[in-house]
Amino acid sequence: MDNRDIVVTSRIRLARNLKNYKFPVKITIEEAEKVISEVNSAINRINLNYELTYMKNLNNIEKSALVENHLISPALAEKERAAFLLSKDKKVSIMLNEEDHIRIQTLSPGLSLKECWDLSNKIDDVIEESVDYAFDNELGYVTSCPTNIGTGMRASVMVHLPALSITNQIEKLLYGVSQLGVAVRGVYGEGTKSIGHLYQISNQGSLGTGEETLIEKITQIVNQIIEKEVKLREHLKKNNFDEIEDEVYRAYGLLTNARRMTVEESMKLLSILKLGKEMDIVKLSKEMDIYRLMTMIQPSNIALKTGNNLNPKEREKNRAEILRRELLQ
Amino acid sequence: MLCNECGKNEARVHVTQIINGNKTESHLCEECAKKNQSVLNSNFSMENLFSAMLNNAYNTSAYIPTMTCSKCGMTYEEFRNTGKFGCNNCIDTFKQRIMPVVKNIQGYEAHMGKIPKRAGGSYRIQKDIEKLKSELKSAIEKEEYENAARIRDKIREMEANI
Repeated sequence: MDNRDIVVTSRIRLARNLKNYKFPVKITIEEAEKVISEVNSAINRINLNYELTYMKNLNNIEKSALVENHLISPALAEKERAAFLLSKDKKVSIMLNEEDHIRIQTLSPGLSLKECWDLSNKIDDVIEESVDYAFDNELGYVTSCPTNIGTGMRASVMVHLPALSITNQIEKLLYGVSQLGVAVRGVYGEGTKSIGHLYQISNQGSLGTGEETLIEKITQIVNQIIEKEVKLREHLKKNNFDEIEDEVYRAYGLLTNARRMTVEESMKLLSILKLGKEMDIVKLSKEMDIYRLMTMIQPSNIALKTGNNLNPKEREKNRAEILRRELLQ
Repeated sequence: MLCNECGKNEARVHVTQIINGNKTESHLCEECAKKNQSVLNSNFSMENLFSAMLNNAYNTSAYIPTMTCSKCGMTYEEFRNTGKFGCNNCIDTFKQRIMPVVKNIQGYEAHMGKIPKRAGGSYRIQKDIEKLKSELKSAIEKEEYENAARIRDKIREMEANI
Protein backbone atom coordinates (compact mmCIF):
# COMPACT_ATOMS: atom_id res chain seq x y z
CA MET A 1 0.00 0.00 0.00
CA ASP A 2 1.09 3.50 -0.82
CA ASN A 3 1.24 6.15 1.92
CA ARG A 4 -0.69 8.34 -0.46
CA ASP A 5 -3.69 6.12 0.12
CA ILE A 6 -3.86 7.31 3.70
CA VAL A 7 -2.29 10.76 3.48
CA VAL A 8 -4.28 12.76 0.96
CA THR A 9 -2.40 16.06 0.99
CA SER A 10 0.21 17.99 2.94
CA ARG A 11 0.08 21.73 3.38
CA ILE A 12 2.34 24.46 4.74
CA ARG A 13 1.05 27.93 5.49
CA LEU A 14 3.30 30.87 6.34
CA ALA A 15 1.87 34.08 7.79
CA ARG A 16 3.73 37.30 7.03
CA ASN A 17 3.02 41.02 7.42
CA LEU A 18 4.51 44.15 5.96
CA LYS A 19 6.14 46.51 8.40
CA ASN A 20 4.93 49.74 6.88
CA TYR A 21 1.20 49.11 6.58
CA LYS A 22 -1.43 48.63 9.25
CA PHE A 23 -2.53 45.03 9.72
CA PRO A 24 -5.85 43.82 8.25
CA VAL A 25 -7.97 44.74 11.33
CA LYS A 26 -6.88 48.38 10.96
CA ILE A 27 -5.91 48.57 7.30
CA THR A 28 -7.22 51.34 5.01
CA ILE A 29 -8.50 50.69 1.48
CA GLU A 30 -5.41 52.37 0.00
CA GLU A 31 -3.04 50.31 2.14
CA ALA A 32 -4.85 47.08 1.26
CA GLU A 33 -4.44 47.95 -2.43
CA LYS A 34 -0.72 48.62 -1.91
CA VAL A 35 -0.20 45.29 -0.16
CA ILE A 36 -1.78 43.51 -3.11
CA SER A 37 0.18 45.38 -5.77
CA GLU A 38 3.53 45.12 -3.93
CA VAL A 39 3.28 41.37 -3.43
CA ASN A 40 1.94 40.87 -6.93
CA SER A 41 4.88 42.67 -8.50
CA ALA A 42 7.35 40.91 -6.18
CA ILE A 43 6.06 37.55 -7.40
CA ASN A 44 5.77 38.52 -11.03
CA ARG A 45 9.33 39.80 -11.15
CA ILE A 46 10.50 36.20 -10.84
CA ASN A 47 7.66 34.00 -11.92
CA LEU A 48 4.92 34.78 -14.37
CA ASN A 49 2.83 31.72 -13.66
CA TYR A 50 0.67 33.29 -10.98
CA GLU A 51 -2.78 34.69 -11.55
CA LEU A 52 -4.11 37.48 -9.33
CA THR A 53 -7.80 37.38 -8.39
CA TYR A 54 -9.65 39.97 -6.31
CA MET A 55 -12.29 38.58 -3.97
CA LYS A 56 -14.67 41.38 -4.89
CA ASN A 57 -14.75 40.07 -8.47
CA LEU A 58 -16.00 36.62 -7.48
CA ASN A 59 -19.55 35.55 -6.68
CA ASN A 60 -20.39 33.45 -3.62
CA ILE A 61 -20.48 30.16 -5.52
CA GLU A 62 -17.03 30.76 -7.01
CA LYS A 63 -15.67 31.70 -3.60
CA SER A 64 -17.02 28.64 -1.78
CA ALA A 65 -15.91 26.30 -4.57
CA LEU A 66 -12.37 27.65 -4.04
CA VAL A 67 -12.76 26.95 -0.31
CA GLU A 68 -14.05 23.42 -1.00
CA ASN A 69 -10.98 22.82 -3.16
CA HIS A 70 -8.74 24.11 -0.33
CA LEU A 71 -7.25 26.79 -2.57
CA ILE A 72 -8.31 29.64 -0.28
CA SER A 73 -9.37 29.80 3.36
CA PRO A 74 -12.97 30.39 4.47
CA ALA A 75 -11.77 33.62 6.12
CA LEU A 76 -10.39 34.97 2.82
CA ALA A 77 -13.73 34.34 1.10
CA GLU A 78 -15.40 36.74 3.53
CA LYS A 79 -12.98 39.63 3.05
CA GLU A 80 -13.88 42.40 0.61
CA ARG A 81 -10.37 43.87 0.32
CA ALA A 82 -8.68 40.53 -0.09
CA ALA A 83 -7.11 38.91 -3.13
CA PHE A 84 -5.05 35.85 -3.91
CA LEU A 85 -2.30 34.79 -6.26
CA LEU A 86 -2.67 31.26 -7.55
CA SER A 87 0.10 29.36 -9.31
CA LYS A 88 -0.77 27.65 -12.60
CA ASP A 89 -0.34 24.16 -11.14
CA LYS A 90 -2.55 25.23 -8.17
CA LYS A 91 0.10 24.10 -5.71
CA VAL A 92 0.72 27.58 -4.34
CA SER A 93 -1.87 30.07 -3.21
CA ILE A 94 -0.73 33.40 -1.77
CA MET A 95 -3.63 34.94 0.12
CA LEU A 96 -3.51 38.69 0.60
CA ASN A 97 -5.23 40.72 3.34
CA GLU A 98 -6.76 37.74 5.07
CA GLU A 99 -6.00 37.79 8.81
CA ASP A 100 -2.44 38.72 7.86
CA HIS A 101 -1.15 40.70 4.88
CA ILE A 102 0.35 37.59 3.34
CA ARG A 103 -0.40 33.92 3.78
CA ILE A 104 1.65 31.63 1.59
CA GLN A 105 0.02 28.23 1.24
CA THR A 106 1.63 25.30 -0.54
CA LEU A 107 -0.24 22.06 -1.16
CA SER A 108 1.17 18.77 -2.32
CA PRO A 109 -0.11 15.18 -2.44
CA GLY A 110 0.95 12.53 0.07
CA LEU A 111 3.09 13.04 3.14
CA SER A 112 5.32 15.78 1.78
CA LEU A 113 5.60 18.56 4.37
CA LYS A 114 9.30 18.97 3.71
CA GLU A 115 8.71 19.62 -0.01
CA CYS A 116 5.94 22.08 0.86
CA TRP A 117 8.23 23.87 3.30
CA ASP A 118 11.07 24.12 0.76
CA LEU A 119 8.70 25.66 -1.76
CA SER A 120 7.06 28.05 0.73
CA ASN A 121 10.46 29.05 2.04
CA LYS A 122 11.64 29.93 -1.48
CA ILE A 123 8.53 31.97 -2.26
CA ASP A 124 8.90 33.73 1.09
CA ASP A 125 12.49 34.70 0.17
CA VAL A 126 11.37 35.97 -3.23
CA ILE A 127 8.70 38.20 -1.69
CA GLU A 128 11.04 39.50 1.01
CA GLU A 129 13.51 40.69 -1.60
CA SER A 130 11.16 43.52 -2.46
CA VAL A 131 9.03 44.16 0.66
CA ASP A 132 9.79 44.97 4.31
CA TYR A 133 8.54 42.25 6.65
CA ALA A 134 7.40 42.85 10.22
CA PHE A 135 9.90 40.92 12.33
CA ASP A 136 10.74 41.07 16.03
CA ASN A 137 14.12 39.76 17.18
CA GLU A 138 12.58 38.12 20.22
CA LEU A 139 9.22 36.97 18.92
CA GLY A 140 9.98 36.29 15.26
CA TYR A 141 7.54 37.06 12.46
CA VAL A 142 4.87 39.42 13.73
CA THR A 143 1.38 38.15 12.94
CA SER A 144 -2.03 39.72 13.60
CA CYS A 145 -2.87 37.03 16.12
CA PRO A 146 -0.25 36.22 18.79
CA THR A 147 -1.12 32.53 18.35
CA ASN A 148 0.71 32.54 15.00
CA ILE A 149 3.71 34.58 16.09
CA GLY A 150 7.23 33.17 15.72
CA THR A 151 7.55 31.08 12.60
CA GLY A 152 4.05 32.04 11.42
CA MET A 153 3.89 28.49 10.19
CA ARG A 154 1.10 25.97 10.22
CA ALA A 155 1.91 22.52 8.89
CA SER A 156 -1.13 20.35 8.19
CA VAL A 157 -1.62 16.88 6.85
CA MET A 158 -4.95 15.55 5.61
CA VAL A 159 -5.41 11.87 6.41
CA HIS A 160 -8.10 9.38 5.46
CA LEU A 161 -8.72 6.98 8.34
CA PRO A 162 -11.71 4.75 7.53
CA ALA A 163 -10.56 1.61 9.37
CA LEU A 164 -9.84 3.51 12.59
CA SER A 165 -13.17 5.32 12.21
CA ILE A 166 -15.48 2.38 11.56
CA THR A 167 -13.95 0.41 14.43
CA ASN A 168 -14.54 3.36 16.79
CA GLN A 169 -10.88 3.71 17.66
CA ILE A 170 -10.49 7.16 16.19
CA GLU A 171 -11.59 9.18 19.24
CA LYS A 172 -9.02 7.48 21.44
CA LEU A 173 -6.27 7.96 18.90
CA LEU A 174 -7.13 11.60 18.25
CA TYR A 175 -7.21 12.30 21.98
CA GLY A 176 -3.76 10.77 22.35
CA VAL A 177 -2.42 12.79 19.46
CA SER A 178 -3.85 16.04 20.83
CA GLN A 179 -1.75 15.52 23.97
CA LEU A 180 1.34 15.99 21.81
CA GLY A 181 0.64 19.63 20.97
CA VAL A 182 -1.06 18.78 17.73
CA ALA A 183 -4.56 19.81 16.64
CA VAL A 184 -6.92 17.39 14.93
CA ARG A 185 -10.18 18.26 13.26
CA GLY A 186 -12.55 16.80 10.72
CA VAL A 187 -12.02 18.19 7.22
CA TYR A 188 -15.70 18.19 6.28
CA GLY A 189 -18.28 18.45 9.04
CA GLU A 190 -17.94 19.86 12.54
CA GLY A 191 -15.25 19.20 15.15
CA THR A 192 -13.85 15.71 15.36
CA LYS A 193 -17.00 14.27 13.72
CA SER A 194 -15.76 13.98 10.19
CA ILE A 195 -17.85 12.94 7.23
CA GLY A 196 -15.79 10.91 4.80
CA HIS A 197 -13.34 9.95 7.59
CA LEU A 198 -10.97 12.74 6.56
CA TYR A 199 -8.98 14.45 9.30
CA GLN A 200 -6.58 17.35 9.38
CA ILE A 201 -3.58 17.11 11.69
CA SER A 202 -1.62 20.30 12.33
CA ASN A 203 0.76 21.95 14.79
CA GLN A 204 -0.68 24.09 17.59
CA GLY A 205 2.16 26.39 18.58
CA SER A 206 4.32 28.54 16.32
CA LEU A 207 6.85 29.95 18.78
CA GLY A 208 10.06 28.42 20.12
CA THR A 209 10.44 25.55 17.68
CA GLY A 210 12.17 25.83 14.31
CA GLU A 211 10.24 25.03 11.12
CA GLU A 212 12.15 21.89 10.23
CA THR A 213 11.96 20.49 13.76
CA LEU A 214 8.22 21.04 13.77
CA ILE A 215 7.79 19.42 10.37
CA GLU A 216 9.82 16.46 11.55
CA LYS A 217 7.57 16.13 14.61
CA ILE A 218 4.30 16.26 12.65
CA THR A 219 5.70 13.80 10.09
CA GLN A 220 6.60 11.35 12.86
CA ILE A 221 3.16 11.60 14.42
CA VAL A 222 1.46 11.09 11.06
CA ASN A 223 3.67 8.09 10.33
CA GLN A 224 2.52 6.51 13.56
CA ILE A 225 -1.11 7.12 12.65
CA ILE A 226 -0.51 5.59 9.20
CA GLU A 227 1.00 2.53 10.84
CA LYS A 228 -2.06 2.12 13.10
CA GLU A 229 -4.47 2.45 10.16
CA VAL A 230 -2.48 -0.02 8.02
CA LYS A 231 -2.26 -2.61 10.81
CA LEU A 232 -5.97 -2.31 11.44
CA ARG A 233 -6.75 -2.79 7.75
CA GLU A 234 -4.65 -5.95 7.74
CA HIS A 235 -6.44 -7.15 10.84
CA LEU A 236 -9.85 -6.48 9.28
CA LYS A 237 -8.88 -8.28 6.11
CA LYS A 238 -7.86 -11.32 8.08
CA ASN A 239 -10.62 -11.45 10.66
CA ASN A 240 -13.61 -9.56 9.28
CA PHE A 241 -13.25 -9.97 5.56
CA ASP A 242 -16.88 -10.92 4.90
CA GLU A 243 -18.26 -7.87 6.71
CA ILE A 244 -15.84 -5.48 5.04
CA GLU A 245 -16.41 -6.97 1.60
CA ASP A 246 -20.16 -6.64 2.08
CA GLU A 247 -19.86 -3.01 3.23
CA VAL A 248 -17.64 -2.12 0.29
CA TYR A 249 -19.93 -3.68 -2.31
CA ARG A 250 -23.00 -2.11 -0.71
CA ALA A 251 -21.28 1.27 -1.01
CA TYR A 252 -20.35 0.53 -4.62
CA GLY A 253 -23.90 -0.63 -5.37
CA LEU A 254 -25.47 2.52 -4.00
CA LEU A 255 -22.95 4.87 -5.58
CA THR A 256 -23.39 3.34 -9.01
CA ASN A 257 -27.18 2.95 -8.89
CA ALA A 258 -28.77 5.60 -6.69
CA ARG A 259 -30.67 8.39 -8.43
CA ARG A 260 -30.32 10.97 -5.67
CA MET A 261 -27.43 11.55 -3.29
CA THR A 262 -26.76 14.00 -0.45
CA VAL A 263 -23.21 15.17 0.25
CA GLU A 264 -23.17 13.34 3.59
CA GLU A 265 -24.25 10.00 2.13
CA SER A 266 -21.88 10.23 -0.84
CA MET A 267 -18.95 11.11 1.39
CA LYS A 268 -19.65 8.20 3.71
CA LEU A 269 -19.96 5.74 0.83
CA LEU A 270 -16.98 7.10 -1.10
CA SER A 271 -14.85 6.73 2.01
CA ILE A 272 -15.78 3.03 2.27
CA LEU A 273 -15.23 2.56 -1.46
CA LYS A 274 -11.80 4.18 -1.17
CA LEU A 275 -10.98 1.72 1.61
CA GLY A 276 -12.23 -1.18 -0.54
CA LYS A 277 -10.11 -0.07 -3.47
CA GLU A 278 -6.99 0.23 -1.34
CA MET A 279 -7.62 -3.16 0.29
CA ASP A 280 -7.99 -4.73 -3.20
CA ILE A 281 -11.57 -5.76 -2.42
CA VAL A 282 -13.13 -3.94 -5.32
CA LYS A 283 -11.43 -3.51 -8.68
CA LEU A 284 -11.53 0.07 -9.89
CA SER A 285 -9.36 1.55 -12.59
CA LYS A 286 -5.96 2.54 -11.28
CA GLU A 287 -6.46 6.18 -12.20
CA MET A 288 -9.71 6.44 -10.27
CA ASP A 289 -9.05 9.23 -7.75
CA ILE A 290 -11.76 8.95 -5.12
CA TYR A 291 -10.58 12.01 -3.21
CA ARG A 292 -11.08 14.03 -6.42
CA LEU A 293 -14.63 12.65 -6.60
CA MET A 294 -15.20 13.70 -2.98
CA THR A 295 -14.32 17.25 -3.99
CA MET A 296 -16.36 17.17 -7.20
CA ILE A 297 -19.61 16.35 -5.39
CA GLN A 298 -19.36 19.23 -2.87
CA PRO A 299 -22.30 21.66 -3.21
CA SER A 300 -20.47 24.67 -4.66
CA ASN A 301 -18.43 22.56 -7.07
CA ILE A 302 -21.71 21.22 -8.47
CA ALA A 303 -23.31 24.65 -8.50
CA LEU A 304 -20.31 26.06 -10.36
CA LYS A 305 -20.59 23.41 -13.10
CA THR A 306 -24.35 23.67 -13.48
CA GLY A 307 -24.55 27.45 -13.32
CA ASN A 308 -26.31 27.47 -9.95
CA ASN A 309 -29.70 26.93 -11.58
CA LEU A 310 -30.49 23.82 -9.57
CA ASN A 311 -32.55 23.58 -6.41
CA PRO A 312 -31.27 21.24 -3.66
CA LYS A 313 -33.29 18.24 -4.97
CA GLU A 314 -32.05 18.71 -8.51
CA ARG A 315 -28.54 19.03 -7.15
CA GLU A 316 -28.93 15.65 -5.44
CA LYS A 317 -29.94 14.18 -8.77
CA ASN A 318 -26.99 15.79 -10.47
CA ARG A 319 -24.66 14.48 -7.76
CA ALA A 320 -25.91 10.91 -8.30
CA GLU A 321 -25.37 11.34 -12.05
CA ILE A 322 -21.80 12.51 -11.55
CA LEU A 323 -21.06 9.54 -9.29
CA ARG A 324 -22.51 7.02 -11.77
CA ARG A 325 -20.72 8.61 -14.70
CA GLU A 326 -17.35 8.74 -12.93
CA LEU A 327 -17.51 5.29 -11.37
CA LEU A 328 -18.96 3.41 -14.32
CA GLN A 329 -16.83 4.97 -17.04
CA MET B 1 -32.85 22.51 36.96
CA LEU B 2 -33.44 26.22 36.46
CA CYS B 3 -31.10 28.56 34.62
CA ASN B 4 -28.31 30.04 36.78
CA GLU B 5 -28.60 33.41 35.04
CA CYS B 6 -32.29 34.25 34.94
CA GLY B 7 -33.64 31.61 37.31
CA LYS B 8 -36.81 31.37 35.22
CA ASN B 9 -36.35 28.86 32.41
CA GLU B 10 -35.21 25.26 32.38
CA ALA B 11 -31.41 25.02 32.01
CA ARG B 12 -30.52 23.29 28.74
CA VAL B 13 -26.90 24.33 28.20
CA HIS B 14 -24.38 22.95 30.66
CA VAL B 15 -20.88 24.35 30.68
CA THR B 16 -17.85 23.18 32.59
CA GLN B 17 -14.86 25.50 32.54
CA ILE B 18 -11.47 24.61 33.92
CA ILE B 19 -9.19 27.62 34.22
CA ASN B 20 -5.85 27.15 35.95
CA GLY B 21 -7.21 24.05 37.64
CA ASN B 22 -10.31 25.79 39.01
CA LYS B 23 -13.45 24.10 37.84
CA THR B 24 -16.64 26.11 37.47
CA GLU B 25 -19.95 24.80 36.22
CA SER B 26 -22.83 26.82 34.87
CA HIS B 27 -26.26 25.75 33.74
CA LEU B 28 -28.09 28.10 31.42
CA CYS B 29 -31.33 28.27 29.51
CA GLU B 30 -31.05 28.64 25.72
CA GLU B 31 -31.89 32.32 25.85
CA CYS B 32 -29.22 33.22 28.40
CA ALA B 33 -26.72 30.94 26.65
CA LYS B 34 -27.32 32.77 23.38
CA LYS B 35 -26.62 36.06 25.11
CA ASN B 36 -23.34 34.61 26.24
CA GLN B 37 -21.91 33.70 22.84
CA SER B 38 -18.59 32.51 24.22
CA VAL B 39 -20.47 29.75 26.06
CA LEU B 40 -22.21 28.49 22.96
CA ASN B 41 -19.15 28.85 20.81
CA SER B 42 -17.86 25.32 20.66
CA ASN B 43 -15.04 26.37 18.36
CA PHE B 44 -12.18 26.43 20.84
CA SER B 45 -9.63 27.70 18.38
CA MET B 46 -6.33 29.14 19.52
CA GLU B 47 -7.54 32.61 18.60
CA ASN B 48 -10.63 32.41 20.78
CA LEU B 49 -8.64 30.88 23.57
CA PHE B 50 -6.09 33.66 23.43
CA SER B 51 -8.66 36.41 23.68
CA ALA B 52 -10.39 34.58 26.53
CA MET B 53 -7.12 34.19 28.40
CA LEU B 54 -6.30 37.86 28.00
CA ASN B 55 -9.69 38.71 29.41
CA ASN B 56 -9.26 36.37 32.32
CA ALA B 57 -5.80 37.66 33.14
CA TYR B 58 -6.97 41.22 33.70
CA ASN B 59 -10.64 41.08 34.52
CA THR B 60 -10.00 40.14 38.11
CA SER B 61 -8.15 43.29 39.16
CA ALA B 62 -9.36 46.86 39.12
CA TYR B 63 -7.03 47.35 36.21
CA ILE B 64 -7.92 50.12 33.76
CA PRO B 65 -6.35 49.77 30.34
CA THR B 66 -5.13 53.07 28.97
CA MET B 67 -2.41 51.98 26.58
CA THR B 68 -2.79 52.96 22.95
CA CYS B 69 -0.58 52.10 20.00
CA SER B 70 0.88 55.33 18.64
CA LYS B 71 0.96 54.06 15.04
CA CYS B 72 -2.48 52.54 14.43
CA GLY B 73 -4.52 53.79 17.39
CA MET B 74 -5.29 50.30 18.72
CA THR B 75 -6.22 50.54 22.40
CA TYR B 76 -5.39 47.79 24.84
CA GLU B 77 -9.11 47.31 25.43
CA GLU B 78 -9.66 46.76 21.71
CA PHE B 79 -6.72 44.38 21.48
CA ARG B 80 -8.02 42.44 24.47
CA ASN B 81 -11.37 41.96 22.80
CA THR B 82 -10.19 41.02 19.32
CA GLY B 83 -6.90 39.34 20.24
CA LYS B 84 -5.36 40.86 17.10
CA PHE B 85 -2.57 43.39 16.59
CA GLY B 86 -3.36 46.44 14.46
CA CYS B 87 0.18 46.97 13.17
CA ASN B 88 3.85 46.17 13.61
CA ASN B 89 4.16 48.71 16.42
CA CYS B 90 1.41 47.11 18.58
CA ILE B 91 3.77 44.34 19.55
CA ASP B 92 6.13 46.81 21.24
CA THR B 93 3.25 48.71 22.79
CA PHE B 94 1.62 45.69 24.40
CA LYS B 95 4.57 43.31 24.71
CA GLN B 96 5.13 43.48 28.44
CA ARG B 97 1.48 43.02 29.20
CA ILE B 98 0.85 40.08 26.89
CA MET B 99 4.07 38.11 27.30
CA PRO B 100 2.79 35.95 30.19
CA VAL B 101 -0.24 34.93 28.12
CA VAL B 102 1.84 34.33 24.99
CA LYS B 103 4.15 32.13 27.00
CA ASN B 104 1.21 30.30 28.49
CA ILE B 105 -0.45 29.56 25.19
CA GLN B 106 2.64 28.96 23.06
CA GLY B 107 4.72 27.23 25.71
CA TYR B 108 7.77 29.30 24.75
CA GLU B 109 8.76 32.97 24.80
CA ALA B 110 11.46 33.27 22.16
CA HIS B 111 11.54 32.68 18.43
CA MET B 112 13.44 29.79 16.92
CA GLY B 113 13.66 29.18 13.23
CA LYS B 114 13.81 31.26 10.09
CA ILE B 115 15.11 34.83 10.27
CA PRO B 116 14.36 36.96 7.21
CA LYS B 117 17.36 38.19 5.24
CA ARG B 118 16.43 41.86 5.11
CA ALA B 119 14.14 42.39 8.11
CA GLY B 120 16.42 40.22 10.28
CA GLY B 121 19.50 42.30 9.38
CA SER B 122 22.39 42.09 11.80
CA TYR B 123 20.29 39.92 14.13
CA ARG B 124 20.48 37.16 11.55
CA ILE B 125 24.27 37.47 11.42
CA GLN B 126 24.44 37.42 15.22
CA LYS B 127 22.40 34.22 15.28
CA ASP B 128 24.66 32.68 12.64
CA ILE B 129 27.70 33.62 14.73
CA GLU B 130 26.13 31.99 17.79
CA LYS B 131 25.61 28.85 15.79
CA LEU B 132 29.21 28.89 14.54
CA LYS B 133 30.49 29.42 18.09
CA SER B 134 28.77 26.27 19.27
CA GLU B 135 30.16 24.43 16.26
CA LEU B 136 33.61 25.77 17.20
CA LYS B 137 33.22 24.49 20.73
CA SER B 138 32.28 21.01 19.60
CA ALA B 139 35.12 20.98 17.04
CA ILE B 140 37.60 21.78 19.82
CA GLU B 141 36.09 19.11 22.05
CA LYS B 142 36.50 16.59 19.27
CA GLU B 143 40.07 17.85 18.77
CA GLU B 144 39.38 18.74 15.14
CA TYR B 145 41.74 21.69 15.27
CA GLU B 146 41.95 22.39 11.55
CA ASN B 147 38.20 22.61 11.32
CA ALA B 148 38.11 24.74 14.50
CA ALA B 149 40.60 27.20 13.03
CA ARG B 150 38.48 27.53 9.91
CA ILE B 151 35.34 28.21 11.93
CA ARG B 152 37.23 30.74 14.10
CA ASP B 153 38.34 32.67 11.02
CA LYS B 154 34.82 32.68 9.68
CA ILE B 155 33.47 34.05 12.99
CA ARG B 156 36.11 36.83 12.94
CA GLU B 157 35.19 37.72 9.42
CA MET B 158 31.48 37.87 10.23
CA GLU B 159 32.01 39.91 13.39
CA ALA B 160 34.01 42.43 11.43
CA ASN B 161 31.06 42.86 9.07
CA ILE B 162 28.44 43.75 11.65
